[in-house]
Amino acid sequence: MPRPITRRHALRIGSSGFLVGLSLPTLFQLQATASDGTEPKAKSCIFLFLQGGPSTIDMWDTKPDAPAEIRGPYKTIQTNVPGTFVGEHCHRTAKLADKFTILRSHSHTDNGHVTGSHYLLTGYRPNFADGANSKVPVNELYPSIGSVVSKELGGRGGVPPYMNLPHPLTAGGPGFYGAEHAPFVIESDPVQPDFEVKDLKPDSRLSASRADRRQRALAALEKDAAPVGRAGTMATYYDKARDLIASPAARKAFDLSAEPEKARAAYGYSSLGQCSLLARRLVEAGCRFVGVDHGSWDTHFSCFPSLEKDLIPHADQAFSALIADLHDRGLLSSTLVVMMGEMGRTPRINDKAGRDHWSQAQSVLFAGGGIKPGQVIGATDKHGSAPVADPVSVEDILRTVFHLMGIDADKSYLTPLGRPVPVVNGGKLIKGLL
Amino acid sequence: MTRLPALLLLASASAAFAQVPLPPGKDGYAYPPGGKAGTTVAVILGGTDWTPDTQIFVHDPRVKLSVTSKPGPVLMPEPPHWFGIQSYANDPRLPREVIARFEIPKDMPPGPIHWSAANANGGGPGGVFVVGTGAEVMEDENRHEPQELPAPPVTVNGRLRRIEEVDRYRFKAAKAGPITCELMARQLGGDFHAVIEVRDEAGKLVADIADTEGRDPVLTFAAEKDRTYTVSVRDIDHRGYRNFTYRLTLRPGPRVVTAVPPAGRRGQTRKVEFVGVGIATGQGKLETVTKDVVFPNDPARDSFGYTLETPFGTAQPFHLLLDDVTDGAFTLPGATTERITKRGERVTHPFAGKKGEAWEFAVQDRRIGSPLDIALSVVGSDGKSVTGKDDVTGHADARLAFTVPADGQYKLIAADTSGCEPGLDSVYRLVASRPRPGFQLRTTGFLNVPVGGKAALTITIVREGGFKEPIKLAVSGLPDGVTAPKELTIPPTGDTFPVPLECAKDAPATATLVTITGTAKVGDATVTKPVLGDLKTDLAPRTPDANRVPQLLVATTLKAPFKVKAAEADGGRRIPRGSTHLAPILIDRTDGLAGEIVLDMSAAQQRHRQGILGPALAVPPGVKAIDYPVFLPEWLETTRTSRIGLNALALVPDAKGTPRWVQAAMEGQITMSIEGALLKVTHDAGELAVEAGQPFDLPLRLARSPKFADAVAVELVVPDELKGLVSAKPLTIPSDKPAALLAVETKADKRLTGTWHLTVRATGKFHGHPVVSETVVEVEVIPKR
Repeated sequence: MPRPITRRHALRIGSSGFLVGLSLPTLFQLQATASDGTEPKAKSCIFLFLQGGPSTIDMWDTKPDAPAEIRGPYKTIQTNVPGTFVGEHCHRTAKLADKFTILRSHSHTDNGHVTGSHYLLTGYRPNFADGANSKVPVNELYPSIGSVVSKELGGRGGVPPYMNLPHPLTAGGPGFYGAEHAPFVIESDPVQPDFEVKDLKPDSRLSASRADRRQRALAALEKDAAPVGRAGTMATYYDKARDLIASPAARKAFDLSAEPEKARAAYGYSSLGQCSLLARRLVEAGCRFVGVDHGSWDTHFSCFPSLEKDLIPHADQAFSALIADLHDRGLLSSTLVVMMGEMGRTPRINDKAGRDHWSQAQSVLFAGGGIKPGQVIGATDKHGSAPVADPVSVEDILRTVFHLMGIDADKSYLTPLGRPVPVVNGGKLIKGLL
Repeated sequence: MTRLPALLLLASASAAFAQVPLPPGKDGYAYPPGGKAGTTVAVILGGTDWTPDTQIFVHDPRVKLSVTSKPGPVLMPEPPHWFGIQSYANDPRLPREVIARFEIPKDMPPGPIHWSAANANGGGPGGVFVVGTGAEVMEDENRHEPQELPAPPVTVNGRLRRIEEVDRYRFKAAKAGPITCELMARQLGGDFHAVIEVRDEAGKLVADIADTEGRDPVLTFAAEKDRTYTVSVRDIDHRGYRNFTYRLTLRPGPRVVTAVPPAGRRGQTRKVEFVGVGIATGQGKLETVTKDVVFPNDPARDSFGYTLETPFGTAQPFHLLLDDVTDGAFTLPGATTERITKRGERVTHPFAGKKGEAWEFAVQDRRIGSPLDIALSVVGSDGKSVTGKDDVTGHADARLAFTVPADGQYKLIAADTSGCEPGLDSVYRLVASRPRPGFQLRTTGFLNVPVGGKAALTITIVREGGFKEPIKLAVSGLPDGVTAPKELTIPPTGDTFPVPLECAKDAPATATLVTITGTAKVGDATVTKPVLGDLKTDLAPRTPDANRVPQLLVATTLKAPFKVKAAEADGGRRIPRGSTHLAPILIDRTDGLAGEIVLDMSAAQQRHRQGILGPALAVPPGVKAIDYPVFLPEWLETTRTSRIGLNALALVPDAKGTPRWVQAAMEGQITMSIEGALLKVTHDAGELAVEAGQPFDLPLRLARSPKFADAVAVELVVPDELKGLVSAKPLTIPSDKPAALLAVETKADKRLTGTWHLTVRATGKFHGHPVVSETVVEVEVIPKR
């Protein structure tokens, strides 16, 4: 184990010509380890985003002693960690509670879907009202968590460093970091029986040499006048697409049919299940950050049929299979898994048998990547309406994720207008998670 | 899980839902949307939330309408499908259609006829049918090439039936000179903004116009003799639907847009400057010519049609206004016509006012063909605004009543708010007059009265010129069993007056056209005026009264004796594409109803542009819970939540024993989020080239989700025009086979020559309901050698 090198030292090496003799991968490694002098545990992160706001009071933070209109219809069950209980429909994860940690004290104040997603995924509150921005991605300025990872860590294999499955995260864009750090989006549901990533298929009518000639012709055109602005953005996307099409590793990673049927079944034939399986394959192939977008959690009305028949079973099966699979493959310690939404749900069941938006209390699941598993961190009050102490903010979560991945969260970049934007604006490491 | 129903019940109990009868909805249409006077025109009438016993009413006694069929099924938008924001923003209401015919008398003047619909749930808006005078043709909706038209003048009755549809019409100009293309679309009730393009034989754009303002487009271009032109019509956003009907009139000759002045004193002869396209040179540009015009001395008319003759043809009559004042410099009283020269110009008209004097200022702009939209305001000598007014109700022309607050100098400001770049046609006429006492009576076009209940028809009184007299109302034509007080007098003051109507308990559920008149003393005269009902069907009204009719539709309604609710109301379920979602529905019959209830799609849906489909499902007597099958096509987006709303219908006898369909909306919607499919059929055929008469094999591949193990039936779906020419024997692919060959037969028929798209449909069953996947094969058929 070489002596740790500080970030300042690494930068000095780069700027003073000591680069000679250091290979680029080595430099990247030095940069990655430079943030606090310790080697990061998490090489990759799988972020399972339960878009809409999961009802964690029915899953990870049940209130069996609360009145019926708060505790809901579900029983509480014991996990394999003594003293830790979860909802009855989380029975698969209950058996693996020693491999993850439940954070029950996450809280913020943005009750909008789009604005809340923007806040969670970028660490910055948006400058638009909820519902006032229908673009995807909505984060035009601030980079998303995945884009930060892409910029700071880069790729480590033949697949893009940052990916979104099966479609773009609402606020998963690169912001001012630019197209280079945009997610690769597969735009295809892996649960579909004929699933394939069509962008990875070379045009059968185009021979490799012809494609190469075209690429050289394009490069010659751009030699004297490099594309800027939108044209530059498109050129970046073309480059990324071309690299991907030419990558056997990417094609292999996306080939879900190579998985044994038993493995696919273990994850469950749901969109979330198969996306989680694909995420594992992508991490194996070197992807740094996989954001899985799973919608339908906005359960304002008649929430219990969908929670117990679809949403919770799908999440329970996907998360538990992913943790077990990563563990069995020896990847859990180097892969951070986070499962959460942009908010939680109201503790009190409304008059339409649903639960409404509630950002003041949400439980978040963390596994792998160097976290201390088997814990429950924080607690909410008797009705699950707010943390009883030490609420964990969005900034805390992002700072902790970046810390686990070896990213200096205090680093700043200048926007095109020259404004410095730190990777995370404040926040602190989640106490007890590390 | 036994506690959940109790919890749901608790939630439902606090959210009592009213089973309000659901009357016919908006977005009605007639296709063709017009016909010639003196003919009988077969039409399709479409409307939303129609029950099987819906009646259609024409608000003009001169026209006879016969409906010859019952409403058909709820109609879904045809492919192609849109996705993303554009799809969500353009989700049309789903109609039903009936077959009908209009009998139009020979002496019927050209113009719109309004029709509406009613059933035991109430009355609702219908649409507009236009009576024309010249040659009319129907669009051939199945053509692939531009439709050939006779030489103008001609009117085409067409519609943009599908999204991305562009209707093209080709004609030859018999002589050189201006040709005018005028489109009626919004005036028919179709909520779209049309674009007209004219191209020559080489495809070069000759002229175009986009209806960005929602007034319906018109353009005039200079045609060359014996040249062929193609006129295309489309929506500005490339939308299309069954109710996007239009009338495209092609007319040789120039077009008068407006006139300066646009009015004259009755009996006067004066010079009028006409502004129009092609009126001076025959070119497709705005220009002017001046003519001496004789204004008829006819006190009964307020306008007359002036036909401008030019060396380049005869223009359509332009309606000049008849008045009792002569246009000149602005005076009180008096009239002036002004032309603005700067964008957003504010023209100042100074005047001296004496305290207590009442004046009425009226602007005519849109009514005289001008693109301007003038707003009026009065400013005092201190520069402060005293009063101001923009549009009159339902129209862009402004009218301002002003009582001078104190002696002094004032300025009447006419400010253009149109945003238009000024041109020769940017004129307005301003009339200042002493208010003439008078009144107008207005109300809604529909009123529903529950059988055994009461309702009030609220009349709005527009009092003009300080009119303060009682108005005696007379009501006639009320439905059987509906009564109004014998004495109905509107007091001298007040802006609204409720007419109470009461329906007897033993009255039938029915509807009639009702006439209400108001009679009052105006000065020395006794004046009787109809109460005009607003139908709101014309979306581009040319006059303030374009949507008002003197016959109001009054319907007696029945209560819905049932409550229907989606058991998982608005709670999203995750459903695979291409499969059928069984949504649990709860049915609660009340008031002694024991019979069948029909569940069917309501008109207002979400994302049905993408093909989400539900059947008309009969719920047998006694059944209190049923699963409603919703089919979700395999092309649906996985990023969005989809919803479907239902109506429930039951046959209920009215007090006279006549069975009537009562309809109410289901509480809550069936809500679904879409996941990847269970089944996908694809083909390995690539692009096929086959000889007519030769058979060929289509190699098919079938991908199944492990959750779906059923055998799959495969069939070839051919376009209507290929029926009998191309066929394939259906086959079944067992659950353990991933591939099959579909043997396709072709006939040696020259009609087959060309490139065709054949659809292969694979259908299986999942929990007893369809799972469907399709693949499209492109086949080029070459003639038999």
